[in-house]
Amino acid sequence: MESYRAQIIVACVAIYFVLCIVVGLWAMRKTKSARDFFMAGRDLGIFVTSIAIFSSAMSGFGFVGGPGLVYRMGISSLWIVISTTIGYAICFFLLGKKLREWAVKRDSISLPDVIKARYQSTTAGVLAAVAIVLGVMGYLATQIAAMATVLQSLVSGLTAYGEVSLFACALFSTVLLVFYCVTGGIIASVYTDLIQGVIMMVAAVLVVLTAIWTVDGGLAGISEILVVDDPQSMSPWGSKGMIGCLSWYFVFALGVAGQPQVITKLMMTRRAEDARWTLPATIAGYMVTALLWIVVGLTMRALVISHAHPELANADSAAPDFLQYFTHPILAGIVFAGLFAAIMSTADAFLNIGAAAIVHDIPVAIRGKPVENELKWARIVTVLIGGTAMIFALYSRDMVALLGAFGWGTFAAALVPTVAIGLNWKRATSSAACVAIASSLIVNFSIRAFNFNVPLNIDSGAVALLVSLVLFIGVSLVTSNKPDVAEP
Amino acid sequence: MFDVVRWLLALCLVIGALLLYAAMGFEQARVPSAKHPDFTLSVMEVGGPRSEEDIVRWNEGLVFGIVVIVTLTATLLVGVDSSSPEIRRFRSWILGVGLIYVLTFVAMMLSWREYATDSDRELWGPFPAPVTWMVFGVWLVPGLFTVIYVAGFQKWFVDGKVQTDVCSDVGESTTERTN
Repeated sequence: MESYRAQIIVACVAIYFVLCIVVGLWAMRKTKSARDFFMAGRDLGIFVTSIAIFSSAMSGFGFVGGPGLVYRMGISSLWIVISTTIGYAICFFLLGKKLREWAVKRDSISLPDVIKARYQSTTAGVLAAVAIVLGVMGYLATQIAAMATVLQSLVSGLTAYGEVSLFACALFSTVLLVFYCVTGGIIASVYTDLIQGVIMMVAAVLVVLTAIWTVDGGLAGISEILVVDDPQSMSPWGSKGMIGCLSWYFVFALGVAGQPQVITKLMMTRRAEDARWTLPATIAGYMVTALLWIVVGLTMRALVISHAHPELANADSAAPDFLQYFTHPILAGIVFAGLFAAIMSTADAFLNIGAAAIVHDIPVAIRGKPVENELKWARIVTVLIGGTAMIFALYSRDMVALLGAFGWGTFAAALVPTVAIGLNWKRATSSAACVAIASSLIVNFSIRAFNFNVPLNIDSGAVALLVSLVLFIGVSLVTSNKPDVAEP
Repeated sequence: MFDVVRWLLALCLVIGALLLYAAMGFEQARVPSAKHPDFTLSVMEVGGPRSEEDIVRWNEGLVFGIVVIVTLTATLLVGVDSSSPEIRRFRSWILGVGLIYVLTFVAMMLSWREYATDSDRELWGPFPAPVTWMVFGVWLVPGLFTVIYVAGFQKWFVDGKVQTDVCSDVGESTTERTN
């Protein structure tokens, strides 16, 4: 079986791609209106919603970037993982029921819709849409680049196909993504999330067991190797340092409530009461899959340090190398398929959110009414966004990195104050919302564009989030003419 | 009246001030992370001088971490900001869990101080003691907020009239304006 390893892995991925096409076509039959396309008809149950939420957060970054960070920095990046218990709690306490209420009462199909309705402000709605489009473009280009790179490395393993260019892999990835999103909209995305979530929960347990068996003494054996090599990398702060790690904890815990790919799922549930059990199910699912992030990264670091595996060419190869060299080929194939599912479902969610911003939010904000035949235009714009993101991914690598890093911090800084706080606080004003969104764009973009080196590895997203929160609350207190917090 | 958002503003200002203080006061603030001496092909990092300064600056890290945790707990309270007696009880539960959360972080910090200064670094289960506190304490303890959410959901979300209904208020003001 080992001699057919590459073929088995590619076969698993191919089966998954066929499954995606089937899900896309099935979802197309269920998609009859713009509301179906953007909001899954507001008909998702507890299980589907919770898996869709944690799968959106645990994208290619979680399965490739996460173990890579652990390999590179030691324990530091575990602060991102452990922020989820408090992060999702904040998300649900503030938005679990509120966001769905707004979506239903105002017939909103996107976050800028909700922001415009909440603040009675066209400017706030347009600014939110612009922030979302910019963030989406970066995220999407990053996902396409990741998918093309992994696909290229897999196909290159099959000697029959020789060397396949990155352009061909990117084109194939984009066509598949766009087909999948255009046909099925968000319905296809959430059901792929479901497949991905289930695959990854099972695979995470199996991969973690394999990792533990790979090193003598299991997890304790791995820790001992790492402590002897460098005790600090096995302290809570790793190589990032104390203040940098705590700034990550702050921005990732609070920032979840501003990630559109996560919180828009709360607008899609069948009943508001479903939020009650969706929260624990989401956290439990995330915790199981996060084991892969923690254990694979530590195992690869220990294997390289003990010279049981050659040094990695780059940190992001930690998970792919572990799967290629240490796991059973079928398990590797399933996890690679899960990895594509993670990338595709997240990319699909972003294509959808970007299309909603361009086709729905901006025209409604400017003209006061949606475009004619919104569903048709949504599909056309999805194709255009996919094509543009592919060009970014292939020809503007620096810009992709810039926009990708810009995306998460911008979403957190722009949407946590205006959506998470604003929907729960009567005194929030439209001026404050506009100032908060504008400041999030300016601060985040300035730090990235001017390559400003924030001291102590403090996350730039944390700086942007702090600035926008302070401005949002401060400007609201100054500009509000309402009495102090009114009772219902 | 208890306005948790004003507290949130104050806490954000404190976090900003602490970050500024650390960025200006730490000697290693602008020093990049140290590279592993044995591996040059890809970037594998080690603790290095920044870790040595971190342990000297233990007090600052403790204060910063506690303020971050208090801020996160205060943000949860924004979602239950009401003066109804029922809700006041939930708020007390949340504050109680917040206190346990802070104490867990303090325990992790104490364990880390011992780990960093002691040459005998025994494992607690699969990890060194401070990482065990981090993974099984700081990660799991906020799960108690979820327990409160599930237990209190019916009373505080479904029975209604318990959260400030911004949605209805905006609806009313829109109607007035239209008329």
